[in-house]
Amino acid sequence: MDSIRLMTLLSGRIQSSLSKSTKDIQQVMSLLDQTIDQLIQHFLSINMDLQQLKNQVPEQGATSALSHCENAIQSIVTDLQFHDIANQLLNRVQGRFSSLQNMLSAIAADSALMTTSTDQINFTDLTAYLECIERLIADTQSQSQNPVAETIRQTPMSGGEIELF
Amino acid sequence: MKKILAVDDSRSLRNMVAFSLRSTGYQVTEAEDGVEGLALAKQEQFDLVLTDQNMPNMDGLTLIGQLRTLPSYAKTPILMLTTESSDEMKSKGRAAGANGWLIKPFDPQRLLDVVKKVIG
Repeated sequence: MDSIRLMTLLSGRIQSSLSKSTKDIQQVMSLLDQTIDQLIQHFLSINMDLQQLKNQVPEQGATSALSHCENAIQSIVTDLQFHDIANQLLNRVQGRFSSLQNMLSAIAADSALMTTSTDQINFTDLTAYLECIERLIADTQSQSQNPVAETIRQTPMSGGEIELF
Repeated sequence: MKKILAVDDSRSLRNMVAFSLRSTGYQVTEAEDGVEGLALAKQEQFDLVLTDQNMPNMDGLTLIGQLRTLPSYAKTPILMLTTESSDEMKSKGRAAGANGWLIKPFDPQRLLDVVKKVIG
């Protein structure tokens, strides 16, 4: 019985921690969205100014500076895509957190049933309980090992591969 | 003017695709998932479709499959632009009818080169 109470207590603590972490991730995603929107607006504005400058006849010394700016803008187009990749990774973390929370809820519910429905716990109950936990863990693992889960390999923000069939 | 349909659930990514292609004279229409992309493709004939894979409502592979059933899109070039880089996914893409696979993040000049190669 003590071990089940301990499990219930731990489940509650871990669930609470996961819930707070999920809120933090949501806040990070929201901040990312706002920031990237502003960055893109500034980026487009700078590019528009640059095009206008190019249309004027630039002094000789300014030509290389404009060319340098254009190259930097090309790089920014690649760099700004970090938002999409970061969002996908954060969504996956959220998905895993959600699976873990579901698992812990099920464990807590089972534990509560066992601690309230019977005063005497027997070996069969414990075996069934452990089997139930094993199934939940297996389900959680299979959800988090979705085939797409490991396919984001990008670490440096350089242009990706291109393959025409 | 050649018309391109860019399908991606990430607004920032769509912005970057549109920015890269519009600056060289392509007309870009944006859709935020496969369902919207398919609806737009039925309304208007595009010269090229660029699609992400992982999107809500309808993913890229399903969109390609649906487009290939439309006679007007039987031979239209379709490129996947995705973070997915596994050979398994590429094979599925090819089987669904994709003509190419581009891995994010894309380099704007290389994207342009590919688009020019595919539709001129």
